Amino acid sequence: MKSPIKAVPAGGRLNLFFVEMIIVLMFFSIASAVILNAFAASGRLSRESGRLERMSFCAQSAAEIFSETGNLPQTLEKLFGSNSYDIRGGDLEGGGYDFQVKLPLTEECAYSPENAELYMLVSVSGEEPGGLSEMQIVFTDGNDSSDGEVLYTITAGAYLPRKGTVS
Amino acid sequence: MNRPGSGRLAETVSSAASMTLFLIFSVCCLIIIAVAASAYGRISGNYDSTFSSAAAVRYITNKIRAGESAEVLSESELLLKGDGCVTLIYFDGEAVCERLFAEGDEPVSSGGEKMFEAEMLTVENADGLIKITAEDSGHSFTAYCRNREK
Amino acid sequence: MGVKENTGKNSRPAGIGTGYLSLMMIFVTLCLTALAALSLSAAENEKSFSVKSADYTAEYYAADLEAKRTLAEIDSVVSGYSDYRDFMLLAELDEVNGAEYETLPDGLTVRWKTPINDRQDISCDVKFSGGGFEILVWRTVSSGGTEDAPLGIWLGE
Repeated sequence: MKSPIKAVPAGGRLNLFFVEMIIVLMFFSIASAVILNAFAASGRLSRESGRLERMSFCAQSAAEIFSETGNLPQTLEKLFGSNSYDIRGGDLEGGGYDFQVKLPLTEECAYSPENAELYMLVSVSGEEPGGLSEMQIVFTDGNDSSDGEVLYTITAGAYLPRKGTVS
Repeated sequence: MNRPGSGRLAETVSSAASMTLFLIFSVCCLIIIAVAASAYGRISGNYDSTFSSAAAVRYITNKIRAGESAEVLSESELLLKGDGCVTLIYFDGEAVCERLFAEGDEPVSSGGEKMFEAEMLTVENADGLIKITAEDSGHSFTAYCRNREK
Repeated sequence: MGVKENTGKNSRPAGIGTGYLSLMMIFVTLCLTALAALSLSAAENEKSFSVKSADYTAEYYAADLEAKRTLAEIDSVVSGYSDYRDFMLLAELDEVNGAEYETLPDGLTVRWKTPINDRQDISCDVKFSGGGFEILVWRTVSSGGTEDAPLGIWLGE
């Protein structure tokens, strides 16, 4: 059975509606591809901004707590809770005031070994308890097998005098 | 050879089909515009709420760093001292507000200038640190800041 | 354009006339382009705000660490002396970059500034006494100094 809808009707004249429809759809698909890319880029930028904002606040909080305590386990416990402290113990390398920790975090910067979307690498180095300690925080999107791209870095410090500050 | 009236029927069916196609195209266009508008609304709303809550927390931490001392009066009131005046930062239920007082005046948490729209602001003392949390449209930001006055 | 009626032999076929689709597509494309441009602009503003804030945070803590290094250096110098008026102590403090000191009857006050960026500094005042120290001031100030610039406001005088 022949379809009654024809681009070229029985009279031989071209049905302009269908020709226009084809041209419009072609142009529209090209324009949509460009516009869709712009929307995707906006969404990606927006997500990255939110993530950077959270990383920045997380790093600030860590730096402030570390600056007050000069102690990394206390800093992480206060920031991510006691659960992170227990699991983090396995990640510790070295000891004393020269060690590194790698924490799996979600994009909201919450401690989550199961749904890690980014990693917070914390390195602390210091001469002795009570002296000047430096803490470097690096956020990466790499998983355990690769280092990944560095997303944000800050360096902070703590100086706790041997005889105690009265501030 | 076509039967009489079959050409007319073909034309009627053809016009009905083209109108249907036109309708489908119009509806699809409307749906696409609605989806695009919703995507724009989401991105724009995200920007507004992120700006409000994150900027409120940053503003307060910068004020604490620039002030001589800070005192948490209640969970939504923070008093900052410095340069001969005191600044009260408080939450009035809709926005983070700020009001300046001369030193010695009794700070009152009303009549201040609205700084940032927010759904919630909490300030609390946490072992010598001040914990500031601001929330707007589901976006919550928290930061700690050292307090010189303990 | 429009819905045509098949009135005669030479009339055009019935249905939607040409042009409507093109007009609609132009309208929709313009709408989508405008929305995409607005979204991109909002997202770029958001990103720019986040990057500036994050950069400032990094700058602040780098300066804070530098200020603490200076404090550690000064503390190690001062802790070697029991008399804060010792000439050798004051000579050593003169060598600490940017530090100014003031001897007090009960101790010694040292102040210095560490730049955060080209607009702000961390201003530090630390009082040493009795073998320990007390942080008097540790705050951000404008690079131009702490004096208030005249705002040109009539003060009623």
